[in-house]
Amino acid sequence: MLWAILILTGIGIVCGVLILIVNRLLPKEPASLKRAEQVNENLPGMNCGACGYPGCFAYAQALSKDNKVFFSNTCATVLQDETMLSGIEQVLDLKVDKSALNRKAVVACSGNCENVGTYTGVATCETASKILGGFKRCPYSCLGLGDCIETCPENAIHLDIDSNIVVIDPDKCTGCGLCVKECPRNVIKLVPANSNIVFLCNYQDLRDIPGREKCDSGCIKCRKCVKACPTEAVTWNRDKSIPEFDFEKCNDCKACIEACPQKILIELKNVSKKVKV
Amino acid sequence: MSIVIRKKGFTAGIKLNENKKSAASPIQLLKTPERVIIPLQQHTGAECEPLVKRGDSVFEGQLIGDSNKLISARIHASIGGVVSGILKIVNPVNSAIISAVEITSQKAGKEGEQPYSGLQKQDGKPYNAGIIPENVVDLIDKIPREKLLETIKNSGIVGLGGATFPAHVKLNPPAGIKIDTLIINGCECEPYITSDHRLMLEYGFEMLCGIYIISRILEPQNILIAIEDNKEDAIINIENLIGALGFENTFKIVSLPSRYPMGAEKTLIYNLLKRKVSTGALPLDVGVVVNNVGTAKAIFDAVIKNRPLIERIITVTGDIERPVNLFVRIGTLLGDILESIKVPDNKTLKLIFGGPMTGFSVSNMDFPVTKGVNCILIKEVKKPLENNCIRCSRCVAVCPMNLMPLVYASYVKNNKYEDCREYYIDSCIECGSCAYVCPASIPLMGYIKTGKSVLARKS
Repeated sequence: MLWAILILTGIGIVCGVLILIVNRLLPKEPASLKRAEQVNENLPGMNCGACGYPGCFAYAQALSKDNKVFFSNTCATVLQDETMLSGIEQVLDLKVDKSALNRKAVVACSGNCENVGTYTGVATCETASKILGGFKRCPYSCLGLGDCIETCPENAIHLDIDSNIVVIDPDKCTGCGLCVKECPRNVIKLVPANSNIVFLCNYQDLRDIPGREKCDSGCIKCRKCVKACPTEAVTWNRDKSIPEFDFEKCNDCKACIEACPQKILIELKNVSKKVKV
Repeated sequence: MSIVIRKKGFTAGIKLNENKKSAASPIQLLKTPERVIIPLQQHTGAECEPLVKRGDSVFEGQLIGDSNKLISARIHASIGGVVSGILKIVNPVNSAIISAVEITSQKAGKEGEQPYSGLQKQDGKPYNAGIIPENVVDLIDKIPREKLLETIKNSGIVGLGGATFPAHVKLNPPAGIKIDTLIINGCECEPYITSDHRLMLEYGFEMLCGIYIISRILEPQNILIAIEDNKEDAIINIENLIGALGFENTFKIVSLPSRYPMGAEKTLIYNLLKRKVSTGALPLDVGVVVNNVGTAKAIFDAVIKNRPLIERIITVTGDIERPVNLFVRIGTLLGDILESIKVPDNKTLKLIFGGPMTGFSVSNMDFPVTKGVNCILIKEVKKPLENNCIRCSRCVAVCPMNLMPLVYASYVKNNKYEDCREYYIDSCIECGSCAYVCPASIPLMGYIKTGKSVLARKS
């Protein structure tokens, strides 16, 4: 009994001394790691991966090495939160123009697309879109099987039962872009958060694709929006047959929104309302 | 010594109901359609650029699509007429939206302008006789190897077994790789399909001369023609023709047991030569080139008859009264083909391009036949109810590549795509055996394809 106590205490003392020596001898924690920890305190800590780094600490390490990373791989959650943003600005010595970086994800489809057949396969958009362009009439439409719903860290995406597509709530969306990467059909687009025009159609051909027509609620390619714009902010993309918007030139006159006969040009704040009606 | 080698034993895979209903039906010529839609990507590789504009008049066999990429195949007009539009179409293989050329034939006026000499028919049947066999072999011997490859490239020939890999790329292995064995795949292991079977019976001569052309290009030591033992008449026919042509010393026929997927490239190489093609490698790396019997015939047509790949043999079969084998122009719309077929109208049937195991379903009649379609299956399909995996491991037992399909299903369901790669999901040949045997009706093929496409897209 006594021996056991003595031996164990001895081992403890020896190990303690060793740890003390090693701790003195080994180099101290590098300064960059300390800075990364400071940065990390101002990050959300959700580890969502939307910035392109495996987690918040990896992002903090990248930021501490080069603060330009914040503009190329912006953390959307930080942009939404004033305290986090000011903390980051302080630690990294940055000036962030919030309105220029802030984005919102929008599903560029107005829904109400009929099915051309009964789909009985695996219920994910990824699989369905691989079978002859999906089961909906329009080969560019949102399939509404909800691959993006699961990826959203903010629970901003829900399925709209009436129009059979997913809808992103612009109030909840932080613009992280995870759903954009997830969508196999590239229906989800990132638009500037202060944009007054959102175009809700993705059909990129003038003619009907054999067996796959445009839906009744989609863009009819009338180009009225291009003609209505007084500042030439709306241009027509000939390859894709869709209008494109230059928000630098836009003067918020809303002439194009009134001109659209299909009512698929709407304001961002009306996105969730429009589709539900 | 007999030139037929009989092999037995194939451990993995399954014995399917063959249902080769159209095996006795001779190949018929479908009447030339008035409108065709020719997609500009009918092959594995880069999409072609259209060389014609709307309103141009084209003749039969005219080059209408070309690409300067290495892996690509040229596209030719399959009927004479006027280009009525360049439109977009869904590519059935990868679901991308690609360009297509629509040609409408105009009976009056313009058709006679530039007749295409290579396609003249005799008594309504495709050109079959007329050249004496000795002459053909001499003719082929005179053409230099580079000229042969050039002709194959210009004719836009792709592998007609279904993978549609450009033939001129396959037949021109990089320097330093020696091809010692040429395998001609006449297995046709999928149920229902009989197009290759009929081709071996009716166009055996063309096919063998085509194989001779390939052997001139590759100069292999062994030439093996693999045929499943359920096509005994084809074996006898090819054996006689080899004797008549005097190819006994070089050509060998291998009779294989009929099990699915015997005709898949990797399993075929393993069963014939006991060589394993590793993940991501090509048959070239083990010194083997595998070509379909249809490709051999197309190469003969290109070299001897100067005729590009603008038509192919397809089987129209399934739950219909009279299953047939048809000679169809590339780009013929599905509706035009089904016009002549009596389809029972009191049932809901599923239209499948390709065989029942690997085909894909089509939901509209305006879809064109491409170079890779070997069968149109019209079939009643019951919707199975997916249950939970009971870990019976039947899918593991049947997998010809010795993979574990049940693992992929559970990983894909839980979004663990990277873990699928650790279980070699890229080795899967997508034969569909696992989904066929699954007692819980899990669509394993669907999960595997999902996993593969997510991994391809995100990395």
